[in-house]
Amino acid sequence: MTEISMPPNPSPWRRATAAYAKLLEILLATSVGMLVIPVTLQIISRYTPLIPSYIWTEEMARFMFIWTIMIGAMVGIRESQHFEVDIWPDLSRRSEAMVRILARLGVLALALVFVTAGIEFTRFAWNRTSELADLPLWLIHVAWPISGVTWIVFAGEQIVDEMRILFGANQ
Amino acid sequence: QSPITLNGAVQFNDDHAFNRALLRFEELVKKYYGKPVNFTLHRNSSLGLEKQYFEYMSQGKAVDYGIVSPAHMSTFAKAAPFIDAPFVFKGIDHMNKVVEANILAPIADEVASKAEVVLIGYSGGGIRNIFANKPLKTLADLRGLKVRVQGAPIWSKTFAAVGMSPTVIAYNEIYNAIQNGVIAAGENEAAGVEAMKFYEVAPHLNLTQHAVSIRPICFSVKTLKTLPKELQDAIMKAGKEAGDYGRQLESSEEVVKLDTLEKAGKLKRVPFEERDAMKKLADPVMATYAKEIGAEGIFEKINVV
Amino acid sequence: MSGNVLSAGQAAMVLFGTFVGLLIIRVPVAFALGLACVPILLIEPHLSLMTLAQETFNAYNSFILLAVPFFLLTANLMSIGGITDRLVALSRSMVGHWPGSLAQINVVLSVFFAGISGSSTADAASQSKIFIDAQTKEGYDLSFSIAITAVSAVLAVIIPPSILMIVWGGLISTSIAAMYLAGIVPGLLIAGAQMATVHIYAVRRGYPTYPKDTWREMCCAIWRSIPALMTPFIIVGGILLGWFTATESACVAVLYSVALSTFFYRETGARELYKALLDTGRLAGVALFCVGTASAFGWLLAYYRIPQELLANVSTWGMGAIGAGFFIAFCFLVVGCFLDAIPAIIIVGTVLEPLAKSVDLHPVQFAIISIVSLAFGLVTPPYGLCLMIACSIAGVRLRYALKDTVIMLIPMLLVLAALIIWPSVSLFLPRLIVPEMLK
Ligand code: NA
Ligand code: NA
Repeated sequence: MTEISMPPNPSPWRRATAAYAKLLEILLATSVGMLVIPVTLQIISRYTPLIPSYIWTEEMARFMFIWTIMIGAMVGIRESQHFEVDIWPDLSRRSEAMVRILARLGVLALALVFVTAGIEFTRFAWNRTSELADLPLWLIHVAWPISGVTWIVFAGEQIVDEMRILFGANQ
Repeated sequence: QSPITLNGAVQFNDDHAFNRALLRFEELVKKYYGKPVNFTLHRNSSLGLEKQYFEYMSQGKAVDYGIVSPAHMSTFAKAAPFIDAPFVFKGIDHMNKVVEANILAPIADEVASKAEVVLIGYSGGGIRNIFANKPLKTLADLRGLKVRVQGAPIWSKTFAAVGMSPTVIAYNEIYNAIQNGVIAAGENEAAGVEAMKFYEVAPHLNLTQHAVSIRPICFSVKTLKTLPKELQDAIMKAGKEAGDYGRQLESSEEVVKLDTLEKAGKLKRVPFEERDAMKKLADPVMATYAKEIGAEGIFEKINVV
Repeated sequence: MSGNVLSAGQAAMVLFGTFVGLLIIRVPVAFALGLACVPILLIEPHLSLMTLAQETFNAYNSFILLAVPFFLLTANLMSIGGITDRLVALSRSMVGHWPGSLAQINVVLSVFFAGISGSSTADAASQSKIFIDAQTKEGYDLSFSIAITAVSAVLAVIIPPSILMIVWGGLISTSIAAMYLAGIVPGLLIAGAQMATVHIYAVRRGYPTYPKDTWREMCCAIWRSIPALMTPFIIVGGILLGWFTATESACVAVLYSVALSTFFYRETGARELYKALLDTGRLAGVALFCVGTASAFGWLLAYYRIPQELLANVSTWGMGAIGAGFFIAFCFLVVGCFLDAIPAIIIVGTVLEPLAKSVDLHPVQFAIISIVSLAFGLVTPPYGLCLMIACSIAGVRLRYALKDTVIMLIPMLLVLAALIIWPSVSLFLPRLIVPEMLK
């Protein structure tokens, strides 16, 4: 399913997006690992006097969780991991490219919605802080426009690649 | 042109005081406005929870009016949870006087300017008590009690000052957490205890009376601005009266509700003997908190009413 | 008068029509659900595109859903830390000498796994990697191998712990402890039905059988698995004894599997750990992102009161408890074909609750019927997450394994019917152990 092929001499742009994808992967693994921390603190603090009962653990866990999901959804587009319902018969590579472009256009459409709605959503959180830890809320809401932009980059590249197959020379 | 339709939302079912206060609000708006206007009230949390209604009202989308706990306004206005904090009011009469004297107006103004939601009336009037799986009569009984509190820091601070061990648990995990003994108690007004069936797992309602709830009837500023002037006036007038009605309704029904539950053997009221001592422990925390959010003036006025 | 531009019927047509249309051109399910909301949000002056951001945010901002990545991580840590290997060895010594041994081991391992993890997605992902390749090498048909791996994965949400029961308990005040106990017997019966199916397949198709292990080997396998077999007792026991909440128990499962791997089986390295974390993030990201857009979709259904309109007359049909049970199962089986189980609970569970109450269906039995039906939805097309995972790991299309999956579902549906007809199938254990939680 994962098919990220790099041409032999990648352009600086492709190198940059590959590096960005790598960065997202590192962030994703780190955030999954960190999710364990606040929940563990919450359990420990209830049973031992070692640490006080932090009121912000639950909120912290939720906010890191939101970022984990959004980064996972970004990486998922790069690696074509989002689940699709497949009812087509086996197609020729060109027709396959055609269908893939259509599907990626769908991703692109939702990406645009996430950018526009996400900017408004981030602005809506601009002067607000979270209930328990007093964190600026836009730090969470900004995940929406960022994933929109990221999807545009990743899905855009895939569309370009499929276009090459569709219109390119017979292989 | 078809008449204007306004959308409301409420977390609870048809019998709940909040639902009835909002129905009264709709009725009164129709009466004062005199022209046709429609209302759709989404019940039973079908559009989410109070926190989300408030955000939608702030955006001027999906929900135009609803009843929201002040605790859920805190991301917009830090001072809002103060309205509802523990030991602010001596009792229901005191709360009524404070509302009638319009002392809470500065906080309502802050909410209106920061969240673009007007508090058009004050419903609520429920007395909050601690429900637990055991009877609690004295401060000594409360010592170390694992109790779930609302997600605003003032709640955990005051409860810790009293000697309890406040715990963070998501609202939808309370029932199971008490049943399994992860926590021993929670706190809520009678209507909440009834709606969430907390009495099934924590049948002792310990009458600490640590807070009197205020539940503002909220209206979206963005929606309000688009309405004709006469309708705006009708809404403001109806909101105030519906709030008064809601307070009166909930405080009068509270006893009936608890009587019914107790008679059915589902719940047992336990008198708490040391409320004054409990308040004394919490007072310094409240004073510091009022200073922090710049509500000392309001706090003083409340205390002298 | 709703004040909306669209009537409930029109809104339903737009929502479902766009959704299905986008699925046909192979837009990922999560994105199709989100995009289906867009026309409505644009048409309706009272809503805006920000509603989509807001509702997905609300769905993710949930402490209860946090159990999903924890269960996925537990599964990944089990396989890198050597826990899964021990459990495979144990399963082999138990059922390896039966016809179709490797497929039987596949089912038994899912039972053990179900006692540790509460996510079927995790089971499907990790066992597809182990079994599909191994089975085909031994001469099993590929479609059979995919199907049995996928259908056995559904046990993970029926046998405790279970993410679906955690979500259910938070939404409809029902004891999670009682649901956990109530899920054990139906889960084991379903596993039994699957093993019987494997047996018939194996005999008819001549699938290979391993030599019988000696008693000595068997004792050795049990001995080496004891620490891993303790996990279900720690998790379920920890909840029954009130050590931690259901969500926290998933975190405890992570901690325990880390401890086992590092201190007991000593098989985890930093590289493997990074890979486990990354794999968890990938799968959690795509699975939960879909929960968010499905919640937004469900929110719009609620905004137009579509489920209420569809089910408006059900209470007048005069169904009894058994009839209602079958109706509830039917609803969830249908919804499960199109939606993920968690949003399905959120959208349909609360709508069906009054029906269950009106016919005196026990709340715990109601929950188990619903959860088992939804678990089956994990392998029913077009949107059967476990089947999709198994197929994508095998590198084939979903259609390929469909026939065998449907055959395997038939005996499982018979178990579902049994637990609708006889309440004690599900209620027996909780009545025995936690009668006070059943009132
Ligand atoms: Na399996
Ligand atoms: Na399980």
